[in-house]
Amino acid sequence: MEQDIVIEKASFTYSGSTRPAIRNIELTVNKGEVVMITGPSGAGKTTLCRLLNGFIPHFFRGKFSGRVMVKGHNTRRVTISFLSRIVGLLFQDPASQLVCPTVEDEVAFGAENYGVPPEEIKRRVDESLKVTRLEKYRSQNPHRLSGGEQQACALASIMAMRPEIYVLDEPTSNLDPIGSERVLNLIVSLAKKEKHTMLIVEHKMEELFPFVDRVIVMNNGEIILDGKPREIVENVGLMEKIGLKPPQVSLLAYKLREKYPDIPIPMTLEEAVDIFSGLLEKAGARGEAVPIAQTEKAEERSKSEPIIRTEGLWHIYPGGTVALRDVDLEIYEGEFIAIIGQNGSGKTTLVKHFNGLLKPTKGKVYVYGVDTTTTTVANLSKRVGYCFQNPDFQLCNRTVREELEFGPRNLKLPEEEIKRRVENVVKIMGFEGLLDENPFSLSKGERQKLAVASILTMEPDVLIVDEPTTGQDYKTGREMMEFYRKLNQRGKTIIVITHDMNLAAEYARRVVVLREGRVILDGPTRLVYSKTKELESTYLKAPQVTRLFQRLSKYGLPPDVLTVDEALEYMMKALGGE
Amino acid sequence: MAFEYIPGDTFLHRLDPRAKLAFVATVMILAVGFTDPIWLAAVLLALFMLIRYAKLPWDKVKGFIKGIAPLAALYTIFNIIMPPVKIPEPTILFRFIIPISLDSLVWATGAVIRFLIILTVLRIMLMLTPIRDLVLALVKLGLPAEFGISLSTGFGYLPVLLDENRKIKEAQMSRAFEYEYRNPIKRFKALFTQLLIPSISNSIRRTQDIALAMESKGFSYNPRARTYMHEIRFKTPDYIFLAITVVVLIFGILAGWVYEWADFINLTLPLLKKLITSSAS
Repeated sequence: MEQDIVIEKASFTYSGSTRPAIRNIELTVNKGEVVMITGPSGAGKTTLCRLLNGFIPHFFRGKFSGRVMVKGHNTRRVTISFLSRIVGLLFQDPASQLVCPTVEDEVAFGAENYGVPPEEIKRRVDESLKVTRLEKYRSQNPHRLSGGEQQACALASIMAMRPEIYVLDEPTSNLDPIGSERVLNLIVSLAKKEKHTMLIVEHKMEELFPFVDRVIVMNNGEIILDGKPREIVENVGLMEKIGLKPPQVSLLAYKLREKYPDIPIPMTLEEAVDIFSGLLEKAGARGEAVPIAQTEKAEERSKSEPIIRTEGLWHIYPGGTVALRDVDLEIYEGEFIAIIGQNGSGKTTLVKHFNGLLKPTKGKVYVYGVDTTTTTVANLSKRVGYCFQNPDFQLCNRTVREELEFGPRNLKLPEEEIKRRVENVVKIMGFEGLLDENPFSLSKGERQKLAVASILTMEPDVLIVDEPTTGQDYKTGREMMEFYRKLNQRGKTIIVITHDMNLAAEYARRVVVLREGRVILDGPTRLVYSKTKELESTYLKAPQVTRLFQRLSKYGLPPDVLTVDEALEYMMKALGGE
Repeated sequence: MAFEYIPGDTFLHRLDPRAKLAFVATVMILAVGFTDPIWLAAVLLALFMLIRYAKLPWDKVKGFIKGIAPLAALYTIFNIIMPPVKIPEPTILFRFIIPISLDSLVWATGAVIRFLIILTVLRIMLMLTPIRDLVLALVKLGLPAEFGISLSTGFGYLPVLLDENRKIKEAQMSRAFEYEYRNPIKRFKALFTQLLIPSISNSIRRTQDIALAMESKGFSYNPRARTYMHEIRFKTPDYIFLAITVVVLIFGILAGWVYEWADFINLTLPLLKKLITSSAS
C-alpha cells in the first residue's frame, strides 16, 4: 500500500524549552487513511501537525532529529510552500488563519498563490463554498462570521487548494455539539469520497470514533496507543487517567467490568443500547422509569428577593441584529447556573447586561434592586464580576501582582485592604512565586486562571464566567469547574456560559437554555436535560449516558441521570435485580 | 466601518479600479488647485451626484460626514485664525480676540470644502471598489504582489482590531476601570496606557499566526507567477471614462493653476466685497 506519511524517530524541542515537545515519534500513514489523534493538552499533537507541512524545522526554531517523509519528500529538503500544496493544514484557532478581506478571496487565496488558472479557481471556490454552506457570506469579511462559520471558511480555503493530505488541528473547537458533528461528518465523507489521507486532532471521541479508521493517543510527547477505534476503546481506563474524555458509554461499561468482567465495551450509543438491553433483559430488569428529580429532595430556593432580575429584556445591536427577545429571568443568591445555547443564541449578550456593559434596548434589568441604566459598570463590578472568554483581552498590566491589584485599585480601596485581598486570592489560586512574572509569559492555562483571579480580588458576590473551558482539555476544564464549585460552596453565586453539556450537567444546579435570543428552557439541571426535543431544536445534546438511559427507560432506568457515576449506580441496581 | 464595500451594479461599480484611481487622483488635484469656495462647492456637488447615481446608501454617507465633522470644524477654525496664504489688504469684519477678515473666512470656507472633497472621494472609491480590486490595480500598476497582499490582509484585519479594542475596554470596565473621564487628557491617557499593552501583545502574537497561515497557503511559493481569481481588464467604457477624466484634469489645471479662475481672490471674494459695499451704501 502506498505510504503517504512516514515519520521515523522524530523528536523536537522548541528553542527556549528544555523538554522535548515530541519524542521518538514513529508513524506511518497509508494513502486514504482517516486517523484521529487525541491526547491531553501539552501532549505534542500540534507539534506533530507542524512536522507534516515543514513548519518544523523551517519556521519554528529548536532541536529537531529524525526524519519526516511526506509523499516521498523529506521535509528537511523542501520548503513550507512546496509541502503546503500536498498537505493542507487547518489550524486550531480559525480567526488566526483568515488573512483576506472577504470570504471569497480567502477561499481563493491558496489556489491563487499556486498560480492556478482563474477559471479553475472560480470553480473550486464555488464548490468549496457550497460544501461548507458559506455561499451567502461570499463577500463578507471572514472575521465578521461566527466562530463556527470561521472554522468552515478556513476549511473551505484548505479544500480549494486541493491538497492530497489533510491535517486538521481541532477543527470543531468553536462549535456547539451538533455543529461539530456536522463538520466532522462533512470532513470525513469528503475524505472517504476523494480517498484523501486525513489526520484529525480532536478531543471529541464520542463524535469521531464511528467515522475514523484509526486512533492515535498521545501523552507527554509520545504515542501511547495506536489502533482501530474498537481496540482503543478497550483502554478507556488509561485514557481517563491521562485526562481524556472517552465516550461516556464506553466508560460506563468499563466501570461495570469490576463486577461484570465480560461486558464488551461499546463504542457508540447504538452499540451501548444493544449491549445494555441484552444485559438488562438477562437480569430480568423491568419497571417504570421514575425520574430522579421526583425522588430527590427538591432544592430549597431561598425565598428572598432575586439578586438579578430581567423584565422583558430586549437587546438590539446597532445595525439591527436582535440578540435578545423578551427575556424574563430571576437569579437568586447562591445559585450555580449554566447558560447554554448554540453559537449566536445571545448568551454573552445576556450576561453583559448583568454588570451593565450593555443596557437594555427595551425592558429592565435590576441588579441588587438597582436599575442598571441608573448606574455605572464600575459600580456594578463591585458586586458582579465578569470574566471574559479570552484572557488575552483582559490582562493589561506588567506583573501578576499589578494585575491582581488592578480591580481593587480602581475601586480606590485602602492599601491594606488591597494587600489583604491579593494575598487571599493568591492563596486560593496558588499564584505564590509568580507575583513578579509578566502575565504574558505565563501559559494559556495560567493566564486563564489569572484572569479569574483578577476578578476575584474585587470580591464580587456574583461571578460570571464566559466559556471557561473552551480550548482546554477535559482535565483542565474540570479543574476550573471544581474551583467554581468551591467558590459556590463559599456562598458566591456562579453563572457559567458554556457549550460543554457534560460539564454543565455535572456542576450546574440550574440550566438556562437560550435559542435565538429567547429563553426556551429554564429549571433544575435534571429537568432541563430530560427535554431531549427542545435541546435538539437548538443543536444541543444531553450527555451520552442521559441519552442511553432515555433509550433504556423500559427497564426502569431514570431518564435524567447526568453523569457516568450516577449512571453506574443505577445500572448496578437494575442489573442487581433490585 | 470606513472601508466598507457596498455591492452594486452601476457603471461606476463596474469600472476598472485603475480608471477609478485615476478619477480619485484627478479630483484630488482639482481640490488642491482650487481655492475658491464656489468652484470647490461645484466639485463637491458633483461628487454627491455620483453618490446618488451609484445608489450608495445615504445613511452611510451621513454617518461618514458626522464622523469627520469634528475634524472639519477644527480645520475650519485653524484656517480662519491662521490662513496659510498671504492676504495683502484684508477686509476686517469684526474682532473676536483677533481681527477676523472677510478674506480669511472665504479662504477657510474653501479649505473646509477641500477637506470634505478629499475624504468624500476616497470614501466613494472604497464604497464602490472591493479592497481586492484596489490591491490588484496597485499590483498591475507596479506594486510588488507581496506588498499588495499585505495591504489587503491589513484591511481584512481592521474589524478584528476594532472588535478587540472593544473587548479589551469592556474587560477593563468590568474591573471598575473608568474610561469616561470628562477631562480629555485624562481620558486619552487612560485609553493609551490601558488599551495599548494588551493590543500590542495581542498583535505580536498575531503576527506569527498570520505569517504561518500565509506560508501554509503557499504565499511565498512564487509571487510573480501568482494568478488572481478576478482579473481586471480595461474595456471601452473604461477608456471613455478615462478620457473624460483627463479632459476634466486639463480643465482643472487651467482653471486652478494657469489662469487662476478658481482662485478665491478672483471670484468669491470680489463678489462678496461688492455685495458688502453695495449694501453699506
